[in-house]
Amino acid sequence: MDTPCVTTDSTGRDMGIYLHIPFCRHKCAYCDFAAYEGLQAYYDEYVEALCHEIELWVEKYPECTKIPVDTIYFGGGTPTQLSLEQLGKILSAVSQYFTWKPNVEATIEANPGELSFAYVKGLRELGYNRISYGVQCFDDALLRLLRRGHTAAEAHRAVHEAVEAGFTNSNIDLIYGLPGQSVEDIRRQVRTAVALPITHISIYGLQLEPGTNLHAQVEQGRICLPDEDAAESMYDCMLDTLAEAGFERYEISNFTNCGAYSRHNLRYWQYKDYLGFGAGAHSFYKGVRRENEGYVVPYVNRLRNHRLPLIEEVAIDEARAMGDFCFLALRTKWGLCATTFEETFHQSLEDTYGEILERLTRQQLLEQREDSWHLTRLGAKYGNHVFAEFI
Amino acid sequence: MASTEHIRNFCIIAHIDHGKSTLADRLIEETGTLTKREMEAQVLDSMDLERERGITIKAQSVRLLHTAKDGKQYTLNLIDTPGHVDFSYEVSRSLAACEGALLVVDAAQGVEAQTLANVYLALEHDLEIIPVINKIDLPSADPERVKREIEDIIGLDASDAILASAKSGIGIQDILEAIVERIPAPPDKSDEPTRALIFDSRFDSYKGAIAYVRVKEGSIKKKDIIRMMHDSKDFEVTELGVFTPNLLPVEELTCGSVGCIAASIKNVRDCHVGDTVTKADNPAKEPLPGYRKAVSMVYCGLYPTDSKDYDNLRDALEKLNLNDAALEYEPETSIALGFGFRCGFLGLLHMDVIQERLEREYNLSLITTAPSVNYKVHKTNGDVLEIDNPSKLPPPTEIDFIEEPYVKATTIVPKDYVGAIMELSQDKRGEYQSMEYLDETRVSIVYHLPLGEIIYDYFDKLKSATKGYASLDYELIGYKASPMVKMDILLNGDPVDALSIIVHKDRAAMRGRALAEKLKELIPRQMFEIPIQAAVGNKIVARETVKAWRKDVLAKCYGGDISRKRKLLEKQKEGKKRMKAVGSVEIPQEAFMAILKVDDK
Repeated sequence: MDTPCVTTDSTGRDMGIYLHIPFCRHKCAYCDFAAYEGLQAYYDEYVEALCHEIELWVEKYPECTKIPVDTIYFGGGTPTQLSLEQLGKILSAVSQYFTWKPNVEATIEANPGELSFAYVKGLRELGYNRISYGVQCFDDALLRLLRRGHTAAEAHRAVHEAVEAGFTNSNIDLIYGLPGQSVEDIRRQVRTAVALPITHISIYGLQLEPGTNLHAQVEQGRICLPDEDAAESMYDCMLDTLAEAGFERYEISNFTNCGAYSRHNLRYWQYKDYLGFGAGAHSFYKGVRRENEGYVVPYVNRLRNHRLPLIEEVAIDEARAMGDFCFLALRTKWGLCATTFEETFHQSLEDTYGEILERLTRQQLLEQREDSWHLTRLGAKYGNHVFAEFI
Repeated sequence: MASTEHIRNFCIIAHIDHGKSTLADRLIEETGTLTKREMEAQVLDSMDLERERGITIKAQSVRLLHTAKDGKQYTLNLIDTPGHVDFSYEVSRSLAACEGALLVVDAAQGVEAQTLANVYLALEHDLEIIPVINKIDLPSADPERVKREIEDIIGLDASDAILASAKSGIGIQDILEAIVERIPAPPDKSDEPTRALIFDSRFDSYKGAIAYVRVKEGSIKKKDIIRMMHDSKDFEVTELGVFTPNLLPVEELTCGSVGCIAASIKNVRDCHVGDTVTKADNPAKEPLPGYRKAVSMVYCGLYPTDSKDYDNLRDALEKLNLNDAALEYEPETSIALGFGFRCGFLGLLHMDVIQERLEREYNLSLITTAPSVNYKVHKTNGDVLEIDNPSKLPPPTEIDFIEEPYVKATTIVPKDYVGAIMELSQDKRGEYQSMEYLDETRVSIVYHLPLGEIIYDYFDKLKSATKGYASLDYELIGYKASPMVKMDILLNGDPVDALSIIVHKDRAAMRGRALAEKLKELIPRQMFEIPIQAAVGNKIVARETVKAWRKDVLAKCYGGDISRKRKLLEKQKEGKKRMKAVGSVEIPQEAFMAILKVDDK
């Protein structure tokens, strides 16, 4: 591995930890992520392997334990497939080596309709203070088509129960561009969502990934997705409806109504360090990006043999680091800050990307406000074109 | 030993793929000129490109020493000929340097149109023709039928045709003997004033332009002062040589022999193929007959994708031109493409080859505009302009009429495809001339066709209409008045000069539609919608729209997987390469050749 370009937050103010739980009660029709159904028999072993991974990592990079943990995020899959006891075990493994910052953000992803109220209360007691529900939409027919395994009513109940259990910070995920969806449907969906006692919404466009059940259904012509123009109208309607409801767009696909930014996700965009543990997890630590083995059994086996389950380890060179820094920063409302760039890379943003910034500004995709560059509303629509310029 | 008695000069006439190069290799090997180990496969095709395409672009020659059955040693000079219709003048010069020719015909495929054209050329030069039926060991070989074809179609006596397989080495000795026995020795004219025919030339960076010659009369020695008769320029001979096939220096090129002359000739243009070399102190009265300047048939613009490469392109053209006097070029400017060159070529293949060499050997990224022919534009004020660049066409009000070049196109096809040929030729504004059954199955059809239609997509159409069974030969026959108009392409409302074409009035709408459709396919989406319009004068004949960029789908970032995001962006970026910004629109290279790729229906 090459020596990485020394980067930002490795100076070590704080750090995030991501834990991947790749299990689901069943796989959704559109999912191509490291998430598997029917692996209940492996839950115990997996938890053990995950704890062992943390142990091995700390042995290899002991200095990381000195960096206080600001965010911890249990993602999936469905982390709540694990029992409270299993989750507790993982949390203790983390606590054993790392120290928490006082106001640590501890998020767990969950599916509506799968949790008892007691379990949700249990999560709160374990220390989770943010819960993120995969609601996706409030239309039972579409939920069935997506093979979500919950209903709209269950989504409502889940969100309310979370509040009752003491969660003051909760997110729901929504998907737009679903089969048969209209702009009016979207408006209704978003209005339903913003009326719930939540602090945060993440919205994603449906992406048809090869190999998924949904992809096959579309290929066979059994269902058909909204065309490009319709998807754009939905996007516009969504943004307007969210803005009306007082939700601020602070990142391309993330919104909050009370400044409850997902601090963990912001780390990704703000070029800060995070460690990822679990099958298929990703890390960015001291200028090196790493990826873990994504399949459960090989992952468990490698740890049984006391080896870190890495499948990729890339030291980011300076050119790539600068590109990543820029395109990630531009995703957020804080934008690309010239001063931070210069502090990080010891060269000026102007000297490095002046020509590109000027062109994108001329095309009205970027605008400069004081020290920072920001996507315009048009630029946010064509984000990938803007980002590609920095690659 | 100035006698010509033991010299034989010959060439090989063959259709592409009928085995000319393999046969040449075999002759070289059999006479021990090169051992098998020394031989690269197909020695004569020395450029990579030639080898890849299986064609000979520049003629070469090689001297073979053969001890015949009579016990005497003969010098056999094999003069290679280019094998494509674009190069028929070069072929005729090579033929003029010989006394005989091997006519190689594939034992399965029989006589092809191309072969026929070259045989006629050879007969015009009074060459002794030895038919060789090659590939007789193919399962589908039918030498008797092919013999009949040679007799019926060409009118040659094929009773003593040699049956051979160059690949397997069958019949090679017979061929060598036949060359000695049947091809006449060059007439001995050693005492006459020197005349040597230049049948090829090439540039060597140390020796200057090198002339490949056949000494017809007299002789040439080192230090002689020679004169190029058409240019009346004198040079002192610094080196003489023959090819074995490597250059072997000699003191003298005697009457009847074939070799090369280096004389510090700085420019290949002072060394024209077809010119006659004589001696300055005792010049011949007349040059040898048949000289003509190479005529460009096809023109196109060549522009560097990156305007910084303009000087490199100029240098590369200069260098190519050193070896290829048929390449014409002059600087031109396009509003859309900036600085570049208008280039003239012998034909489409020649154009392709030059373009590929520029990209491959000189590492240039080029934009080529659609090929055009040379139009004679008669203006209302009586002036006649020669226009090969559509954007240079004067406004319609100043034009009285336009003449376009016509060719006589001879196509030979199996009889089942006669209908297809006729349909295609009519479609290409052809005028039927004649049709002749060559035998029970093969037909020769002659049409007069506008050259502009041939360079458009005629070859592809011909191939698909006849499943590749047709062979085509054409020659320029003159100019004819036609109602031609200029069609402009407007992108985002602005005309792009490099996309303009000259087209027959009646076809403008159809071609405009097809071109607009094709451009829509080729031009990637950009930030704003881009209207594509085809216009004749002020009239829009076709319109398409390239949609604006696809909006981003809000994408989830899976647990901090930044690499995946980055890969997607890299992929997107990949597509942006090799584009030319014309005004506000980015145009990929292929778009400028789109006209050749449209499928008119």
